[in-house]
Amino acid sequence: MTPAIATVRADCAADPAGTLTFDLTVPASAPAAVLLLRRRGAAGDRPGGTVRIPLDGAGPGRLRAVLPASTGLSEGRWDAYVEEPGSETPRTVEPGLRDLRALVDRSPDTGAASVSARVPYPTADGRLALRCWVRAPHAEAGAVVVGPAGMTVEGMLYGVAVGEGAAVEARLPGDPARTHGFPLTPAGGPSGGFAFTLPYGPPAEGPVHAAQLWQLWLVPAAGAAGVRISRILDDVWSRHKSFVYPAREAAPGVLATPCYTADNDLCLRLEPGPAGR
Amino acid sequence: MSRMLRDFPGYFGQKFAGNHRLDKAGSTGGNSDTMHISFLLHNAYGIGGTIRTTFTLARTLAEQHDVEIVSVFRHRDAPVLGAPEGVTLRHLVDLRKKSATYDGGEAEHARPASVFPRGDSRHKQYSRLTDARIAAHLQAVEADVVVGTRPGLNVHLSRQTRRGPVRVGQEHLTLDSHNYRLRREIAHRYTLLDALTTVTRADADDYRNRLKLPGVRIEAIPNAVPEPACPPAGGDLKWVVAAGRLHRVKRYDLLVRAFAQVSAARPDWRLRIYGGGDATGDEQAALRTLIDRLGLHNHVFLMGSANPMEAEWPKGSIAAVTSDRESFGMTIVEAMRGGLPVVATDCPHGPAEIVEDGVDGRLVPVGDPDAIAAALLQLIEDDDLRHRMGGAALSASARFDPARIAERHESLFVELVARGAQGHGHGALRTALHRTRGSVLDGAYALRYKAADVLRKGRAA
Repeated sequence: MTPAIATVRADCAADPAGTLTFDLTVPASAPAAVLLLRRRGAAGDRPGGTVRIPLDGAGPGRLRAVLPASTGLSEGRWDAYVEEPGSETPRTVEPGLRDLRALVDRSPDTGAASVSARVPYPTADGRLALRCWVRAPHAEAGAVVVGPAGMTVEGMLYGVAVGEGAAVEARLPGDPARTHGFPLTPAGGPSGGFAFTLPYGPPAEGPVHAAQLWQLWLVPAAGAAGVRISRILDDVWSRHKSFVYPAREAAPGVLATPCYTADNDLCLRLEPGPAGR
Repeated sequence: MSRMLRDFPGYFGQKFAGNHRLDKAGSTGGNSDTMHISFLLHNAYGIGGTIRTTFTLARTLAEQHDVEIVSVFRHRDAPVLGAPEGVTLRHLVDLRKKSATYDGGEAEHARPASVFPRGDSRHKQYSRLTDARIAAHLQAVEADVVVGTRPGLNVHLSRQTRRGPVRVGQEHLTLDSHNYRLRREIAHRYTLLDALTTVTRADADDYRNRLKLPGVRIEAIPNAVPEPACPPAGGDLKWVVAAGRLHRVKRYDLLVRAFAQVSAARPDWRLRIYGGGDATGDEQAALRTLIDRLGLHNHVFLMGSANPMEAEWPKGSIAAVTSDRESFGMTIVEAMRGGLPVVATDCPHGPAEIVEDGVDGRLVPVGDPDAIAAALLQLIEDDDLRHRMGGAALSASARFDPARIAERHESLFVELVARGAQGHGHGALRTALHRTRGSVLDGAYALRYKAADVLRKGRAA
């Protein structure tokens, strides 16, 4: 049976160097077709919002595109298309097998000035897209230990070293006055490691009438610019549903829960909750 | 099949199938062994183990034979799992509301089915309309072999198929998973099948020992799992992987409890559980609570469902299947084909027929978290053992390759078609004939004799 619409299916593979290979199965390919990556939203229309990768023959009915780590893709979500000369609308690409084992438990050199991560993923409507992060410097979260009155986080810092006055800051977006800072605790383990305990009490002091999402920033030294704490060095493109932590009562009627956003940024969620839970 | 037929002199080169269709395109010119095989499936357009397995088998058989899948229902335009290549797909009852041929509004579709057995859990979806449509299909079907893929459809096959085609029922679950009512109905109706295939030897034994089905050939043929498109696991990533819908019978609670022991001893190892929850989300919530209570939220992750799962296995180095029951154990085979040793509970029915304990995986007692933990830790602590068992799993699981599994179905079909041409009908005489058949059927002579009959019948048709 021939499907009504000719779809293009792409298998992806990542290698340890960060190169992504796309192997496309094409029913009939026009010469000079390219794999078009387009940043989602208005950013896709701006300079640098599209990247074109040549497609080369890789066997009958197969075309291959290679995206090296050195090709710059700014942070965000990028949709994949196949663009054929003479065709007005590019074809969307269906995700096939995504062999991303090389992305699992990555530990890049902590001395690198910037860290980037690219994870091919299937969108909710079944298309292939890339989730890209570019961080310089970068604070990678690891284990999150949930205590009775606070959260303890261990992680690795990339592209900057921890100095005098290093701290973690919980910031409530839209309300700069509400920022709570706490000094880092000495981290054991390899160089570049950091650790902190964020007590739930101070952020929970203010009124919590609705859910509040506090962002967590690492300030490497007194007066230095904050580094967003995220977890991006693996194959999980969106961890808010799989990396889930237990809630604790931070104040009477207020529940505090460490969580990730759909973009893998670490947060503290405060919300009104049943007392005594 | 050809190999088998070639063993019988005088046979090779003869047209086998009763109805003379065009030879399969692309086959080695004038292929003479083509059969026409017609599967009857509940709904080819959904997602499920039976659909996946049927597609795999149909696609593989279609490399040599004319294969169709007749789906009783159709509720969407394209099959979710992708139409199997080379296989004709059609439906009997159109449930697409926007379709011009929508059947859901038919008065007959509102009346409860009388042919489709009440004991089959899908009974509510069947109706007088399906009774009639399936009957019309089976009365007209031009096939050498018709294959039913669930008890209710096997009953249709045995009651309604016209004289001629061989009737093969497939059991994708197990006899003991069926309620009393269905078992009784099966015992009564399956006597008119030519063969029944189960996915495990244990279930085949159940059918042989618990039901009296004289003359019905009962054979265990496991499900096929294709070779993954990506290379096997390297065996060094410190993750244990489990997969399957989040349902109580899968006993992920045991696995999570076992993992509390594992992570206490080896905190560098973690567990990913892939699989979606059901509509209630109860099991997912219960597991989440357990993970929190045991403080395992840095070690055990509920990943949601992954499709295809193929690329997820090699992110781990050990797989775990801790169910109370499995009708087959598909995930065990999938993990092994990905090069992972599997720690599995020795539950009914499948695992012991897939895993060779201590060679390509570990079998542990059902319901015992300590035993699961010990087996996992054994493989975690011993890198050589883990790699060796992973390699053994990879080679042992090649026996589930679609080509090899399809060959077994094919041999069965060939034999039945040959035997079915004896000229007997499906009627009162049938049982008596079956009883004596064992002595009549005697080696190559008998098979050749029957093959000649097939030919005559084919010309007459």
